[in-house]
Amino acid sequence: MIQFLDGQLVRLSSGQKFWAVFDSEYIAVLGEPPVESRRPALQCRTSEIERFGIAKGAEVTVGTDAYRIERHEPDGTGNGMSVLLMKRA
Amino acid sequence: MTHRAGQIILATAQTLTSWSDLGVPSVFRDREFSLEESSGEVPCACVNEGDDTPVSEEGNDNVAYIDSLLEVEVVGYATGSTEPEVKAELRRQRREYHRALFAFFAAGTDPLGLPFVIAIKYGGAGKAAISTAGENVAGSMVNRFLVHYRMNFNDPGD
Repeated sequence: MIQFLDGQLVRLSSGQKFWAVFDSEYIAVLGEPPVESRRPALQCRTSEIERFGIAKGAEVTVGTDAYRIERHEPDGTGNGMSVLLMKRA
Repeated sequence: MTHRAGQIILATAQTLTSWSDLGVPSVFRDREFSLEESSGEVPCACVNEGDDTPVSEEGNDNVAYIDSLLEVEVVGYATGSTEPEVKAELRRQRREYHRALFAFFAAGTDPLGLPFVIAIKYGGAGKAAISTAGENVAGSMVNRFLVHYRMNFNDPGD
């Protein structure tokens, strides 16, 4: 298991674990007035996504918070990293 | 006193706030700031003032009073895990806004508790707006009510 310097341990519902950098940027959705929300995402190695077979809808836990994987976005720079966009479970 | 249109918006918000089955913790008037989900500001209702149109095409038929039709928008907001869940909550809210604002029929009181309001008319609702961009699914729905009211010719705030 590769540990990121500023990463967090992510648990899959299968019990498997991997390290990823967790981010939750602020976004505004809907409009006038907008609803403040967050866009939780994990930055991790693409190889770990493939190794664990992490697919859309997979349930993961970051700290004590449960999420579902919404989308897998390879970062496209050729460095083997990906972003997993998530929703609250 | 403020223009009667403003009194109607205030009375609408107060009527919704006092409706025990409303099921949303906050009712805002003319809300301009964003709604913070993490602070419990969603679910909520936002009451907005819409178009105000003379009932008569000529503006006023009588020099003693003017009748006008104010569109009141009650925008329901909800968040949840899934789109069906959010839409169900928006429909639940829609039902309660309707019940609250038309309760005067059964009670035999003035609409919105205002003697110058002649009637409240059903104005329909917009299609639910849904966003899946955030960590939760968020939705809103515009519910419209048309408030027929009468104002004095000399002072619409009197």
